[in-house]
Amino acid sequence: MKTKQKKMNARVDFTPMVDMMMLLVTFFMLCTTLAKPQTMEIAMPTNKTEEKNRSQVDTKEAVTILLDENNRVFYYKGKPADAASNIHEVYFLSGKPSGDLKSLHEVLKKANPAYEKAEKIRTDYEARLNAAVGSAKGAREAIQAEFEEKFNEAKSEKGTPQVIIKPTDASTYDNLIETLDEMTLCNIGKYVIVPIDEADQATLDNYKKTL
Amino acid sequence: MGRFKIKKADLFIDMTPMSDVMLLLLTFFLMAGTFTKPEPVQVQAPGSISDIKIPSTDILTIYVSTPKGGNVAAVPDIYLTLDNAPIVNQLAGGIKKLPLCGKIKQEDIDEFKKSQSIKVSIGEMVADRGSQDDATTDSQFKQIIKQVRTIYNDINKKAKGDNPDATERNLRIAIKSDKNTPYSTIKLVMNSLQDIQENRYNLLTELKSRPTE
Repeated sequence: MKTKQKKMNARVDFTPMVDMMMLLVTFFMLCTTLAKPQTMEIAMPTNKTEEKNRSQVDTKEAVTILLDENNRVFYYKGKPADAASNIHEVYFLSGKPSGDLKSLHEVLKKANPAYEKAEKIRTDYEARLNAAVGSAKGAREAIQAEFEEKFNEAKSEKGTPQVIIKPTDASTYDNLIETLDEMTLCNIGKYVIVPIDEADQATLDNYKKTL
Repeated sequence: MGRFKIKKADLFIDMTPMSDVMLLLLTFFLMAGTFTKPEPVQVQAPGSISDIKIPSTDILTIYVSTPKGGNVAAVPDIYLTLDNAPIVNQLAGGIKKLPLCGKIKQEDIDEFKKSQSIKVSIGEMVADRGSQDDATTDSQFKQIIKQVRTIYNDINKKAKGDNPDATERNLRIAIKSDKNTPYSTIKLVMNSLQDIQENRYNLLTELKSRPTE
Protein backbone atom coordinates (compact mmCIF):
# COMPACT_ATOMS: atom_id res chain seq x y z
CA MET A 1 0.00 0.00 0.00
CA LYS A 2 1.30 3.34 -0.89
CA THR A 3 1.05 6.13 1.68
CA LYS A 4 0.02 9.46 0.43
CA GLN A 5 2.80 11.99 0.83
CA LYS A 6 1.50 15.01 2.69
CA LYS A 7 2.64 18.34 1.34
CA MET A 8 4.75 19.97 4.07
CA ASN A 9 3.90 23.49 5.11
CA ALA A 10 7.07 25.55 4.76
CA ARG A 11 5.80 28.36 6.96
CA VAL A 12 7.07 28.51 10.49
CA ASP A 13 4.87 30.00 13.17
CA PHE A 14 6.71 33.00 14.62
CA THR A 15 4.20 33.85 17.31
CA PRO A 16 6.05 32.18 20.22
CA MET A 17 9.25 33.87 19.13
CA VAL A 18 7.54 37.27 19.11
CA ASP A 19 6.13 36.53 22.55
CA MET A 20 9.54 35.81 23.90
CA MET A 21 11.02 38.92 22.27
CA MET A 22 8.33 41.06 23.77
CA LEU A 23 9.19 39.72 27.21
CA LEU A 24 12.89 40.38 26.72
CA VAL A 25 12.26 43.91 25.45
CA THR A 26 10.05 44.66 28.44
CA PHE A 27 12.69 43.28 30.78
CA PHE A 28 15.44 45.44 29.35
CA MET A 29 13.23 48.49 29.22
CA LEU A 30 12.48 48.21 32.91
CA CYS A 31 15.95 47.26 34.08
CA THR A 32 18.10 49.78 32.28
CA THR A 33 18.55 53.48 32.60
CA LEU A 34 19.06 55.42 29.43
CA ALA A 35 19.75 58.81 30.89
CA LYS A 36 22.54 59.67 33.25
CA PRO A 37 21.36 61.60 36.27
CA GLN A 38 21.53 65.37 36.11
CA THR A 39 23.79 67.17 38.48
CA MET A 40 24.39 70.59 39.85
CA GLU A 41 27.97 71.44 40.64
CA ILE A 42 28.63 73.55 43.68
CA ALA A 43 31.78 74.77 45.31
CA MET A 44 31.55 75.72 48.96
CA PRO A 45 34.04 78.00 50.69
CA THR A 46 36.61 76.29 52.92
CA ASN A 47 36.25 76.76 56.63
CA LYS A 48 39.97 77.39 56.99
CA THR A 49 39.71 81.01 55.94
CA GLU A 50 38.93 83.61 58.54
CA GLU A 51 35.27 84.08 59.32
CA LYS A 52 35.65 87.83 58.77
CA ASN A 53 36.96 87.52 55.23
CA ARG A 54 34.20 85.18 54.28
CA SER A 55 31.24 87.27 55.26
CA GLN A 56 32.62 90.46 53.82
CA VAL A 57 29.93 91.37 51.39
CA ASP A 58 29.29 94.78 49.96
CA THR A 59 26.13 95.42 51.92
CA LYS A 60 24.75 97.86 49.37
CA GLU A 61 24.49 95.11 46.79
CA ALA A 62 23.60 92.28 49.14
CA VAL A 63 20.32 90.43 48.77
CA THR A 64 19.59 88.01 51.58
CA ILE A 65 17.16 85.17 50.95
CA LEU A 66 15.69 83.42 53.97
CA LEU A 67 14.18 79.98 53.36
CA ASP A 68 11.57 79.07 55.93
CA GLU A 69 9.35 76.10 56.65
CA ASN A 70 6.37 75.18 54.45
CA ASN A 71 8.17 76.41 51.31
CA ARG A 72 8.00 80.05 52.37
CA VAL A 73 10.68 82.49 51.21
CA PHE A 74 11.58 85.93 52.50
CA TYR A 75 14.17 88.38 51.29
CA TYR A 76 15.69 91.71 52.20
CA LYS A 77 18.13 93.99 50.49
CA GLY A 78 21.06 95.71 52.11
CA LYS A 79 22.43 95.55 55.62
CA PRO A 80 21.11 93.05 58.18
CA ALA A 81 20.60 96.02 60.56
CA ASP A 82 17.90 97.47 58.27
CA ALA A 83 16.37 94.08 57.60
CA ALA A 84 13.30 94.66 59.78
CA SER A 85 12.00 97.45 57.55
CA ASN A 86 13.11 95.82 54.31
CA ILE A 87 11.94 92.27 54.63
CA HIS A 88 9.26 90.93 52.28
CA GLU A 89 7.74 87.58 51.61
CA VAL A 90 8.04 86.15 48.09
CA TYR A 91 7.06 82.84 46.51
CA PHE A 92 8.76 80.10 44.49
CA LEU A 93 7.65 79.63 40.90
CA SER A 94 6.74 76.04 41.73
CA GLY A 95 4.61 77.09 44.68
CA LYS A 96 1.12 78.49 44.59
CA PRO A 97 1.09 82.24 44.99
CA SER A 98 -1.31 83.47 47.61
CA GLY A 99 -2.25 87.10 48.09
CA ASP A 100 -0.38 89.77 46.19
CA LEU A 101 3.13 88.43 46.66
CA LYS A 102 5.86 88.80 44.09
CA SER A 103 7.85 85.81 42.93
CA LEU A 104 11.46 85.35 43.96
CA HIS A 105 12.27 85.14 40.26
CA GLU A 106 10.81 88.56 39.56
CA VAL A 107 12.56 90.16 42.54
CA LEU A 108 15.98 88.76 41.68
CA LYS A 109 15.65 89.70 38.02
CA LYS A 110 14.85 93.25 39.00
CA ALA A 111 17.73 93.36 41.47
CA ASN A 112 20.20 92.22 38.84
CA PRO A 113 21.19 95.03 36.44
CA ALA A 114 23.23 92.58 34.34
CA TYR A 115 20.29 90.23 33.73
CA GLU A 116 19.39 91.43 30.23
CA LYS A 117 22.99 91.56 29.09
CA ALA A 118 23.80 88.08 30.34
CA GLU A 119 20.55 86.70 28.92
CA LYS A 120 21.44 88.12 25.50
CA ILE A 121 24.87 86.49 25.65
CA ARG A 122 23.23 83.19 26.52
CA THR A 123 20.62 83.28 23.73
CA ASP A 124 23.29 84.36 21.22
CA TYR A 125 25.40 81.42 22.31
CA GLU A 126 22.55 78.97 21.93
CA ALA A 127 21.84 80.28 18.43
CA ARG A 128 25.51 80.00 17.48
CA LEU A 129 25.74 76.52 18.90
CA ASN A 130 22.66 75.44 16.95
CA ALA A 131 24.13 76.92 13.78
CA ALA A 132 27.36 75.03 14.43
CA VAL A 133 25.67 71.63 14.66
CA GLY A 134 27.66 69.19 12.59
CA SER A 135 30.81 71.25 12.53
CA ALA A 136 34.05 70.11 14.13
CA LYS A 137 34.10 69.41 17.83
CA GLY A 138 36.96 71.84 18.34
CA ALA A 139 35.01 74.70 16.80
CA ARG A 140 32.04 74.05 19.10
CA GLU A 141 34.30 73.87 22.14
CA ALA A 142 35.82 77.21 21.18
CA ILE A 143 32.34 78.76 20.99
CA GLN A 144 31.54 77.33 24.41
CA ALA A 145 34.76 78.57 26.00
CA GLU A 146 34.22 82.06 24.60
CA PHE A 147 30.64 82.05 25.87
CA GLU A 148 31.61 80.98 29.38
CA GLU A 149 34.19 83.69 29.69
CA LYS A 150 31.85 86.43 28.45
CA PHE A 151 28.92 85.09 30.43
CA ASN A 152 30.80 84.88 33.72
CA GLU A 153 32.23 88.33 33.21
CA ALA A 154 28.79 89.82 32.58
CA LYS A 155 27.28 88.01 35.55
CA SER A 156 29.81 89.29 38.05
CA GLU A 157 30.44 92.80 36.77
CA LYS A 158 30.25 95.76 39.14
CA GLY A 159 26.81 96.51 40.49
CA THR A 160 25.47 92.97 40.29
CA PRO A 161 23.87 91.70 43.48
CA GLN A 162 25.57 89.40 45.92
CA VAL A 163 23.01 86.89 47.05
CA ILE A 164 23.25 85.33 50.49
CA ILE A 165 21.08 82.25 50.88
CA LYS A 166 20.19 81.48 54.47
CA PRO A 167 18.08 78.37 54.85
CA THR A 168 16.49 77.67 58.22
CA ASP A 169 16.62 74.14 59.57
CA ALA A 170 12.97 73.60 58.76
CA SER A 171 13.33 74.35 55.06
CA THR A 172 13.78 71.43 52.69
CA TYR A 173 16.43 70.34 50.23
CA ASP A 174 13.99 71.08 47.43
CA ASN A 175 13.81 74.73 48.55
CA LEU A 176 17.58 74.99 48.43
CA ILE A 177 17.80 73.48 44.95
CA GLU A 178 15.03 75.73 43.68
CA THR A 179 16.81 78.79 45.07
CA LEU A 180 20.06 77.69 43.41
CA ASP A 181 18.09 77.27 40.18
CA GLU A 182 16.90 80.86 40.48
CA MET A 183 20.56 81.93 40.61
CA THR A 184 21.04 80.27 37.22
CA LEU A 185 17.78 81.60 35.81
CA CYS A 186 18.40 85.15 36.97
CA ASN A 187 22.04 85.08 35.84
CA ILE A 188 23.41 85.80 39.27
CA GLY A 189 27.15 85.21 39.49
CA LYS A 190 27.85 85.77 43.14
CA TYR A 191 26.00 83.78 45.77
CA VAL A 192 26.77 81.92 48.96
CA ILE A 193 24.92 79.52 51.22
CA VAL A 194 25.41 80.36 54.87
CA PRO A 195 23.63 79.18 57.98
CA ILE A 196 21.03 81.53 59.39
CA ASP A 197 22.15 83.57 62.39
CA GLU A 198 20.15 84.63 65.43
CA ALA A 199 19.60 88.19 64.25
CA ASP A 200 18.09 87.03 60.97
CA GLN A 201 15.96 84.43 62.72
CA ALA A 202 14.61 87.12 65.06
CA THR A 203 13.86 89.47 62.15
CA LEU A 204 12.07 86.67 60.37
CA ASP A 205 10.01 85.70 63.42
CA ASN A 206 9.02 89.30 64.10
CA TYR A 207 8.02 89.86 60.50
CA LYS A 208 5.90 86.72 60.43
CA LYS A 209 4.02 87.94 63.51
CA THR A 210 2.97 91.10 61.67
CA LEU A 211 1.51 89.21 58.74
CA MET B 1 -19.09 36.39 -18.16
CA GLY B 2 -17.65 34.31 -15.43
CA ARG B 3 -18.29 35.02 -11.77
CA PHE B 4 -15.49 36.13 -9.52
CA LYS B 5 -14.36 33.40 -7.31
CA ILE B 6 -14.24 34.38 -3.66
CA LYS B 7 -10.79 33.65 -2.38
CA LYS B 8 -10.60 31.87 0.92
CA ALA B 9 -8.84 34.26 3.37
CA ASP B 10 -5.68 32.96 4.89
CA LEU B 11 -5.90 33.21 8.66
CA PHE B 12 -2.20 32.71 9.10
CA ILE B 13 -0.57 36.06 9.87
CA ASP B 14 3.06 36.44 9.01
CA MET B 15 4.90 37.28 12.22
CA THR B 16 8.34 37.68 10.64
CA PRO B 17 8.31 41.52 10.32
CA MET B 18 7.09 41.84 13.89
CA SER B 19 9.86 39.58 15.02
CA ASP B 20 12.34 41.74 13.11
CA VAL B 21 11.16 44.91 14.79
CA MET B 22 11.31 43.29 18.19
CA LEU B 23 14.84 42.15 17.61
CA LEU B 24 15.80 45.69 16.66
CA LEU B 25 14.22 47.09 19.80
CA LEU B 26 15.92 44.48 21.89
CA THR B 27 19.31 45.30 20.42
CA PHE B 28 18.69 49.00 21.00
CA PHE B 29 17.90 48.60 24.67
CA LEU B 30 20.82 46.24 25.17
CA MET B 31 23.26 48.68 23.61
CA ALA B 32 21.90 51.99 24.84
CA GLY B 33 21.10 51.09 28.40
CA THR B 34 23.18 50.51 31.44
CA PHE B 35 21.82 48.40 34.23
CA THR B 36 20.32 50.38 37.06
CA LYS B 37 22.32 49.75 40.17
CA PRO B 38 20.19 49.05 43.18
CA GLU B 39 20.08 52.08 45.41
CA PRO B 40 20.37 51.68 49.16
CA VAL B 41 17.35 53.89 49.75
CA GLN B 42 14.54 55.13 47.58
CA VAL B 43 15.17 58.81 47.02
CA GLN B 44 13.18 61.29 45.00
CA ALA B 45 15.62 63.93 43.91
CA PRO B 46 14.34 67.49 43.41
CA GLY B 47 13.95 68.92 39.92
CA SER B 48 16.46 71.40 38.61
CA ILE B 49 17.06 73.19 35.33
CA SER B 50 20.74 72.31 35.51
CA ASP B 51 21.50 69.91 32.65
CA ILE B 52 25.08 68.92 33.40
CA LYS B 53 25.51 65.17 33.17
CA ILE B 54 27.52 63.35 35.79
CA PRO B 55 30.22 60.98 34.54
CA SER B 56 29.37 57.35 35.18
CA THR B 57 32.53 56.18 36.94
CA ASP B 58 34.48 57.03 40.09
CA ILE B 59 31.62 58.48 42.04
CA LEU B 60 31.06 58.37 45.74
CA THR B 61 27.36 58.96 46.29
CA ILE B 62 26.01 60.11 49.61
CA TYR B 63 22.38 59.02 49.90
CA VAL B 64 20.27 60.89 52.38
CA SER B 65 16.88 59.32 52.94
CA THR B 66 13.82 61.09 54.20
CA PRO B 67 12.07 59.89 57.28
CA LYS B 68 8.74 58.29 56.43
CA GLY B 69 5.82 60.64 56.06
CA GLY B 70 7.98 63.74 55.96
CA ASN B 71 8.41 63.69 59.73
CA VAL B 72 11.05 66.35 60.30
CA ALA B 73 11.95 65.21 63.81
CA ALA B 74 12.74 61.62 62.78
CA VAL B 75 16.33 60.74 62.04
CA PRO B 76 17.14 60.13 58.37
CA ASP B 77 19.60 57.49 57.18
CA ILE B 78 22.84 58.28 55.42
CA TYR B 79 24.48 55.77 53.10
CA LEU B 80 27.77 55.96 51.25
CA THR B 81 27.88 54.18 47.91
CA LEU B 82 30.98 53.70 45.84
CA ASP B 83 30.56 52.53 42.25
CA ASN B 84 33.93 50.83 41.94
CA ALA B 85 34.06 47.23 43.18
CA PRO B 86 37.87 46.79 43.51
CA ILE B 87 38.11 49.96 45.57
CA VAL B 88 35.20 48.86 47.73
CA ASN B 89 37.06 45.62 48.47
CA GLN B 90 40.24 47.46 49.29
CA LEU B 91 38.33 49.82 51.55
CA ALA B 92 36.34 47.08 53.24
CA GLY B 93 39.57 45.27 54.12
CA GLY B 94 40.97 48.21 56.01
CA ILE B 95 37.81 49.74 57.40
CA LYS B 96 38.06 48.17 60.86
CA LYS B 97 41.47 49.73 61.44
CA LEU B 98 40.14 53.28 61.09
CA PRO B 99 39.49 55.03 64.38
CA LEU B 100 35.86 54.85 65.51
CA CYS B 101 35.08 52.38 62.74
CA GLY B 102 35.94 49.34 64.89
CA LYS B 103 32.32 49.30 65.95
CA ILE B 104 31.13 48.48 62.44
CA LYS B 105 29.81 44.92 62.45
CA GLN B 106 31.35 42.26 60.22
CA GLU B 107 27.95 41.65 58.61
CA ASP B 108 27.80 45.29 57.58
CA ILE B 109 31.25 45.06 56.02
CA ASP B 110 30.26 41.92 54.12
CA GLU B 111 27.12 43.69 52.99
CA PHE B 112 29.26 46.66 51.90
CA LYS B 113 31.36 44.38 49.71
CA LYS B 114 28.25 42.93 48.16
CA SER B 115 26.05 45.97 47.68
CA GLN B 116 28.82 48.62 47.64
CA SER B 117 26.76 50.68 50.10
CA ILE B 118 27.39 51.28 53.75
CA LYS B 119 25.19 52.97 56.30
CA VAL B 120 26.95 55.48 58.52
CA SER B 121 25.93 56.61 61.95
CA ILE B 122 24.26 60.01 61.88
CA GLY B 123 24.43 60.42 65.65
CA GLU B 124 28.19 60.27 65.45
CA MET B 125 28.23 62.98 62.78
CA VAL B 126 26.21 65.26 65.03
CA ALA B 127 28.50 64.55 67.99
CA ASP B 128 31.58 65.12 65.85
CA ARG B 129 30.34 68.51 64.67
CA GLY B 130 29.96 69.60 68.26
CA SER B 131 33.44 68.54 69.29
CA GLN B 132 36.78 70.19 68.64
CA ASP B 133 38.34 69.95 65.21
CA ASP B 134 40.35 66.83 65.93
CA ALA B 135 41.04 64.02 63.50
CA THR B 136 40.79 61.32 66.17
CA THR B 137 37.13 62.04 66.84
CA ASP B 138 36.15 62.12 63.18
CA SER B 139 32.92 60.32 62.42
CA GLN B 140 32.70 57.18 60.29
CA PHE B 141 31.35 59.37 57.52
CA LYS B 142 34.50 61.51 57.43
CA GLN B 143 36.85 58.58 57.99
CA ILE B 144 35.45 56.62 55.08
CA ILE B 145 35.47 59.55 52.67
CA LYS B 146 39.01 60.46 53.67
CA GLN B 147 40.07 56.85 53.18
CA VAL B 148 38.49 56.71 49.70
CA ARG B 149 40.30 59.91 48.79
CA THR B 150 43.59 58.41 50.00
CA ILE B 151 43.04 55.27 47.93
CA TYR B 152 42.41 57.39 44.83
CA ASN B 153 45.49 59.50 45.49
CA ASP B 154 47.61 56.36 45.83
CA ILE B 155 46.24 54.96 42.57
CA ASN B 156 47.00 58.22 40.79
CA LYS B 157 50.47 58.44 42.28
CA LYS B 158 51.23 54.88 41.19
CA ALA B 159 49.86 55.50 37.69
CA LYS B 160 51.98 58.64 37.41
CA GLY B 161 55.06 56.65 38.44
CA ASP B 162 54.46 54.08 35.74
CA ASN B 163 53.56 56.54 33.05
CA PRO B 164 53.91 60.30 33.55
CA ASP B 165 51.20 61.01 30.95
CA ALA B 166 48.60 58.81 32.56
CA THR B 167 45.21 60.44 32.95
CA GLU B 168 44.22 61.00 36.54
CA ARG B 169 41.24 59.23 37.96
CA ASN B 170 39.21 61.85 39.62
CA LEU B 171 36.92 60.91 42.47
CA ARG B 172 33.74 62.92 42.57
CA ILE B 173 31.44 63.22 45.49
CA ALA B 174 27.73 63.43 44.80
CA ILE B 175 24.88 64.02 47.19
CA LYS B 176 21.57 62.41 46.38
CA SER B 177 18.96 63.57 48.76
CA ASP B 178 15.20 63.54 48.84
CA LYS B 179 13.13 66.60 48.04
CA ASN B 180 11.67 66.70 51.51
CA THR B 181 14.85 66.20 53.48
CA PRO B 182 15.07 69.00 56.02
CA TYR B 183 17.91 71.44 55.50
CA SER B 184 19.33 70.61 58.94
CA THR B 185 20.40 67.18 57.62
CA ILE B 186 21.86 68.62 54.43
CA LYS B 187 23.71 71.16 56.52
CA LEU B 188 25.20 68.36 58.62
CA VAL B 189 26.43 66.56 55.50
CA MET B 190 27.76 69.75 53.88
CA ASN B 191 29.53 70.91 57.04
CA SER B 192 31.09 67.48 57.57
CA LEU B 193 32.39 67.58 54.00
CA GLN B 194 33.71 71.06 54.58
CA ASP B 195 35.62 69.85 57.66
CA ILE B 196 37.57 67.38 55.56
CA GLN B 197 38.28 69.90 52.80
CA GLU B 198 35.87 68.41 50.31
CA ASN B 199 34.49 71.65 48.99
CA ARG B 200 33.48 70.67 45.48
CA TYR B 201 30.71 68.24 45.02
CA ASN B 202 27.67 67.48 42.92
CA LEU B 203 24.05 67.61 43.90
CA LEU B 204 22.05 65.04 41.96
CA THR B 205 18.78 66.29 40.55
CA GLU B 206 16.07 65.38 38.08
CA LEU B 207 15.83 67.43 34.90
CA LYS B 208 13.18 70.11 34.85
CA SER B 209 12.59 72.44 31.91
CA ARG B 210 13.24 76.17 32.18
CA PRO B 211 10.05 77.98 33.10
CA THR B 212 8.66 80.04 30.23
CA GLU B 213 8.36 83.75 30.84
